[in-house]
Amino acid sequence: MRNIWIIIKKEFARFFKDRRMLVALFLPGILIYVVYSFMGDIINSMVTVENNYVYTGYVVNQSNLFKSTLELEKIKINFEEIDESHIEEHKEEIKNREKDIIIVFPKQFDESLKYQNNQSVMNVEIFYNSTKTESSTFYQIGLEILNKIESKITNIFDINAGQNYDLADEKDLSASIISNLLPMLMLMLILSGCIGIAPESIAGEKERGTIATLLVTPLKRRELAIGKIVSISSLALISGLVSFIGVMLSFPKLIARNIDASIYGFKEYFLIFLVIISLTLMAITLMAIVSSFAKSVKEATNYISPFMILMVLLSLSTMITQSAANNVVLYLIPFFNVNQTLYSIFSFDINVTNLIVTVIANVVYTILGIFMLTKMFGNEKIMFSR
Amino acid sequence: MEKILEVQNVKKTFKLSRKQQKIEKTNQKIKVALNGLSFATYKGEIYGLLGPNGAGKTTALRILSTLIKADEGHIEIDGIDVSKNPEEVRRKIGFLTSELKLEDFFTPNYLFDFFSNLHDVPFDIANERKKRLFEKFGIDSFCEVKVANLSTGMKQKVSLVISLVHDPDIIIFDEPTNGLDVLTAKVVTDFLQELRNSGKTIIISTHIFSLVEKICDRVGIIINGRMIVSEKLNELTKEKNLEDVFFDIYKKEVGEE
Repeated sequence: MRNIWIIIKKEFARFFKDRRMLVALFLPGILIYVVYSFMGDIINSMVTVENNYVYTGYVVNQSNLFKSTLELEKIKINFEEIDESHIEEHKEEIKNREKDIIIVFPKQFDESLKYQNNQSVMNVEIFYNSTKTESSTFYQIGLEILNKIESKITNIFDINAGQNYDLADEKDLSASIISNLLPMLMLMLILSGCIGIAPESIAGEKERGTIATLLVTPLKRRELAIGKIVSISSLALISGLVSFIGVMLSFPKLIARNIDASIYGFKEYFLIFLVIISLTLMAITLMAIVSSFAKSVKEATNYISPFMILMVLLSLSTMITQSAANNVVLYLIPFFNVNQTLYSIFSFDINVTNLIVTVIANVVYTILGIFMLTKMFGNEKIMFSR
Repeated sequence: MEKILEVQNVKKTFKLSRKQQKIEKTNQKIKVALNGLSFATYKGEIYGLLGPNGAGKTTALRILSTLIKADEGHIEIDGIDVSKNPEEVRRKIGFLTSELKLEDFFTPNYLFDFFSNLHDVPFDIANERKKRLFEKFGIDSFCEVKVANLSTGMKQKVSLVISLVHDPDIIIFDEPTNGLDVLTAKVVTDFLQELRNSGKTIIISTHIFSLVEKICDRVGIIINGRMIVSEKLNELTKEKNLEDVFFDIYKKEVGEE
């Protein structure tokens, strides 16, 4: 136990003294926050128009009804009335994104509405440019207002008029969004943290020849394996936690709505932590074993890549099925079980048996992995292969 | 004299990869590194393993230091069976070879403390030992400099000191002066003699005749994985100098010079 602690302390000291490793530890989280926030801002700016924006364009046969509705909705416009014969020449301005819209009402549109039963169907034409946010936004506004005008005249029945009929509360909505995205994201973030650390700690030591220096001390191979696994798992957890904070801070910006993480209590966070620890231990052990076969960090990263693809595929399961699996045997499948269990926790649908099976299975895989790693540390062909 | 190490009929083979077969220019899939190696060393002497490159010197030392295992044979160090109780053997020996490297990110100070801890050396004793060894090798002046920023000679001195943190009874050095400048090499050879005089047993591998003649008490000549001669230096060099003795033996064994 004492030697395990010595190795853990040394691994921590080594990582915190190496700037490259510090970057590998914290950069993903910071990058996630910056990139997601930036993406969110860009997406938002692409799909929203500023409140005080003045839409510009042309109108043929102005409808006072339409104009007054726009005013009521406080939508600012600067439309020039033109003759029908000039439409074609002004279409170029819409194409060139100089103006937002051309609306062509039939002659005497407002008056005709009063006698609509006696007339054939009228056509209002709205020319717009879908590549310009302001133009396509006004097109939607125009459609909405014209639909309102039309339904006022021919209204037979309404659907869900007046109040909010969606009975899902904010908590359910947040849980639904989080449970669909976060299990997969968290798995990927933790695995990214692991892949940045495990090859360096095992294959890196082999490559630099420093592991041999440890192997000629009275340190038992088992102690070395456990010390390595515990320390690099802790570091991967820190990396995962930083990334998780980055995701939670930038997530609302990315999806352009408020996500309330406080809907989860101590119980949920504790269970998430438990599952994540079991995942990290298992992933690190697997990567450490794979890294042991490599002669260099680069080679180890190459060896781990196919496993990463498999792990990511397994972590996508709830995004595909949209529900947690019921068959308890499925919770013996590594990585898949973490994704399913996290989904059930995030969606407040925890199945205790499945959760216990997940954690125990992952811990058992870790113990088996440590046993294997111990054997590998004692295998000269693996440790000193050239 | 008290026998402290006994090697009996040790055999060691390595599987050669295709790449290694190309490098060694052979079709053989197996390389015999040690072929029935036997020798003994006694307490308080410096034993020199002499042999050409590829003779099996380094393999023999790696087996003695428990880094790798022998395929056959028996080795006892201070009465402990190396294959049965390698951890206990590691407490008794200090091993230094160019393949054992120190972490670039740590300082000599940190590394000494770390390895003292692993060897379970009490804090006070470790500190006193560190002070003495750092002074001896002039490590004091760079004890807080990261290994990455040290010269080859400095690193070698630190490695040497690290291998002695637990004050081992048997010290095994593979090519102890390899890559060192003349000044550092002298410090190292003087220190090895000092250790011998304090009752430690030292086993070195080298192909430098003058080094063996200067410091060794007993010499073993390895050729093609076999110990051809293992004798006291003064008996071996009664009639001829060591270099001539070696080449006579080599000629007889290999049939060329």
